[in-house]
Amino acid sequence: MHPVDTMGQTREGAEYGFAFLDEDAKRELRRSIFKAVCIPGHQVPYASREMPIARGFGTGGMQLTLALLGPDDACKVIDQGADDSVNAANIRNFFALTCPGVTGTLRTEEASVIQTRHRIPELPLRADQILVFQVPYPDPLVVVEPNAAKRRRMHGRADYARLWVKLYEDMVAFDEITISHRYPTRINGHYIIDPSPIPRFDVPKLHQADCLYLFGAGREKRIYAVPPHTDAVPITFNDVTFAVENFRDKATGKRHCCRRCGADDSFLDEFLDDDGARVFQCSDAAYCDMRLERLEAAE
Amino acid sequence: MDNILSVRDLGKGFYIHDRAKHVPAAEGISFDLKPGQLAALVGPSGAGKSSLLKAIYRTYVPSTGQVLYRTAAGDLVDLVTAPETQITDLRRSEIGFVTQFLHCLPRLSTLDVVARPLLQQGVDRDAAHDKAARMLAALAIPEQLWDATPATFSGGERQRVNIARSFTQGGRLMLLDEPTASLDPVARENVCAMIEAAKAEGAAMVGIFHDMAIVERLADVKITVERRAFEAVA
Amino acid sequence: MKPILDVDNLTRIHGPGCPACLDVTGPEHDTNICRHCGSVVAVAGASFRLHKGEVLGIMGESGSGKSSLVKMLYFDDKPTSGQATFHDEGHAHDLFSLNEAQQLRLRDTRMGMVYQNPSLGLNFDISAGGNIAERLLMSDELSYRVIREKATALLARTEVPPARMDELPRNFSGGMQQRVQIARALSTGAPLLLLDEVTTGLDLSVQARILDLIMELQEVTGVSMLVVTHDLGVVRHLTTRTIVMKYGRIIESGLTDQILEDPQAAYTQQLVSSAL
Repeated sequence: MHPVDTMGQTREGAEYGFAFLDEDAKRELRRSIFKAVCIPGHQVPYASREMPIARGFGTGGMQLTLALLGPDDACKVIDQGADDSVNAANIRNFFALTCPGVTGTLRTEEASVIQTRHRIPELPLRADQILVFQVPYPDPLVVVEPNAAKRRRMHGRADYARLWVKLYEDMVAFDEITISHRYPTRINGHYIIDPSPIPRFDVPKLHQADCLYLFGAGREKRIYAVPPHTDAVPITFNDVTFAVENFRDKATGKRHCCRRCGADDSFLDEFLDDDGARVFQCSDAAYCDMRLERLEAAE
Repeated sequence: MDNILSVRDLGKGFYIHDRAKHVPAAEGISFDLKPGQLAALVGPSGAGKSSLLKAIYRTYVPSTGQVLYRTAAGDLVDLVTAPETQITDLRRSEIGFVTQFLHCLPRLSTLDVVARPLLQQGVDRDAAHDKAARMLAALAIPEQLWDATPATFSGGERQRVNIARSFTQGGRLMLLDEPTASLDPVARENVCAMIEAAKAEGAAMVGIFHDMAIVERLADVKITVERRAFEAVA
Repeated sequence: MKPILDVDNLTRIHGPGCPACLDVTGPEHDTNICRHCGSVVAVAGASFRLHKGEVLGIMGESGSGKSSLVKMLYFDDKPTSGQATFHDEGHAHDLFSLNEAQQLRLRDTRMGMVYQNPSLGLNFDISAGGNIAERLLMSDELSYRVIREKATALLARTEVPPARMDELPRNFSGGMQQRVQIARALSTGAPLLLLDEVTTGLDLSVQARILDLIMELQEVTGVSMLVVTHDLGVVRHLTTRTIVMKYGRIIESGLTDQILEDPQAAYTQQLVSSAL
């Protein structure tokens, strides 16, 4: 017997239905997604099925993506900005294998569903696009309160003073807030989320976006969302401004550019080249390639 | 002039639960006092003079009688039955108690100890310190000691600090429990002068003095207190 | 004098409870354990009033229910029955009918608590200043500069050296930990302070300094205080009125000097005469 998916399609020779998960699992996921969208920033518990990869390798994001994909979708998977890491490539192949009809793509603007780890693409996302985050630790309060039941009550009361105490301690020790990623961000004026390990550079992209952001934690079994056109404010003090990475050269004061495409507005990865010199390059590979193509076309 | 204090048939006895024993301390004391007058309680030691003073102050719960006090606001209050909060208020602003013993915490300077009651009444710090300094000077406490804590002082010095504090606070009714005991003649004279000055300002006082010469000098009224016999209660 | 706290018939029974609990326990039965159901009657029918600016002592031996009483008032525990009304800023809050968020709001901003054990009142994993900052943040102060200034001033006032404000309180002496706790309790300008055996376990000289500090702060701020203690010295120095508890019952109350010098109840006489 071949399982049948919602679209009425069967897949010859496959042991699994469309998108790997059984229909009940997808229904549960979709219900949880709806709930997460209705209560922006609230962590909705869900069952978190076994995936054919280990927990911690993006199973939360994968389940969301599988619940969202239909045969007409174009899907992109990125890992720290790159499409070609082992993890990203394998997940993309898995989608291609289990979701007949879904096209894999490397181009941000072509994708309808993008699954990501640690980055938000440079290209602004549109209303018809969904960004799915792989989340290792969904609860920002875990660093200040070990008891999960207490954390849920604290979220309910929006009792986040202890997160600010962490910022206070940071200010005392370093004169600035040193959180580099997973920056606690308040959604729609109430819940504070852990926006997954995206850099500070990406946090402002959550605010009043056109697209839907979905967060899935497979190991911790939580789904949460930042719906389109929703406030997402990184927490800080009234008199301490939230600042993103500026990539300024300490000596010259000028911003570094991508060595490939010359972009001066993207998040840059820093590394040493073969000669031991410090070089910078776009973290978002698709963005870098797109710029190169345009430059070549212009020549 | 109206009486400021009318003590009516005041009596105090103690019931000791441990021994199931009733111990009478004083009985049937009555007297009236007008502003500016001093009543001296006289009698042998153990007669219950201190107990009476404490019963008027409500440190002891009186067993019988009334202690009618005319407040600054003109109300007549029975101190025996007045609510505790009213007693606390009156103690803060109108009724003072001078003992031989000074209880104070070790950190405060002498000047602060003396000025404290005024600060509690809401007097500002400079004015309170100013008055405290005058009182300490009047009682011949050397100025170099004012910054030190009275906890380190000799018995006589402490007693004078305590008197300075009580008279700094002042009050319309002052209860004096042997304020001149164990003082040298000069200090004793200073304290007497201070009592006379307070009387002249209109303060009424009830006092116990071991020195009959002082009683003769200061007292307007003398109340004799008799020693009571112990009686066992079954 | 205006009331700030009215406690009415407060009862706390640990265990299943039965109709006989209150009748077979108490000082006259010399136990607080119900012989029918085994429940412990921690507090039974406690009623009292605390006035604005007043310092009221609650005195009794261990197990008398005095700590249970303040724990309920600080929402660390729930009463079995009874009421408490907190009069604050023109509102009369019926403490035990508020929801959890309202209770915590009051507790975090309008009441202060100083525990005997500093680890209950302080977070040992954040600095002394951070502990003050937490209370300020709870009351919606979101300016780093203001928080820092206030924390510095509060710790200075409670005599914690400014050089140590960024250290973890776990490394402080017992007396210093209590001073940080007091600073934290005072930080939001709460009109009601609950002190539970604050000087127990400290050296005598440290005790005296802490008591002196509390008294001074009380005079400056006019804060109302409930002082729970088994120590007659604490009662004598700090309070104007005192309640004596035994087996969960209030057996006597009065002016502090009267309780200490002319106690009426047999138990209080014993307690006072057994003091060193």
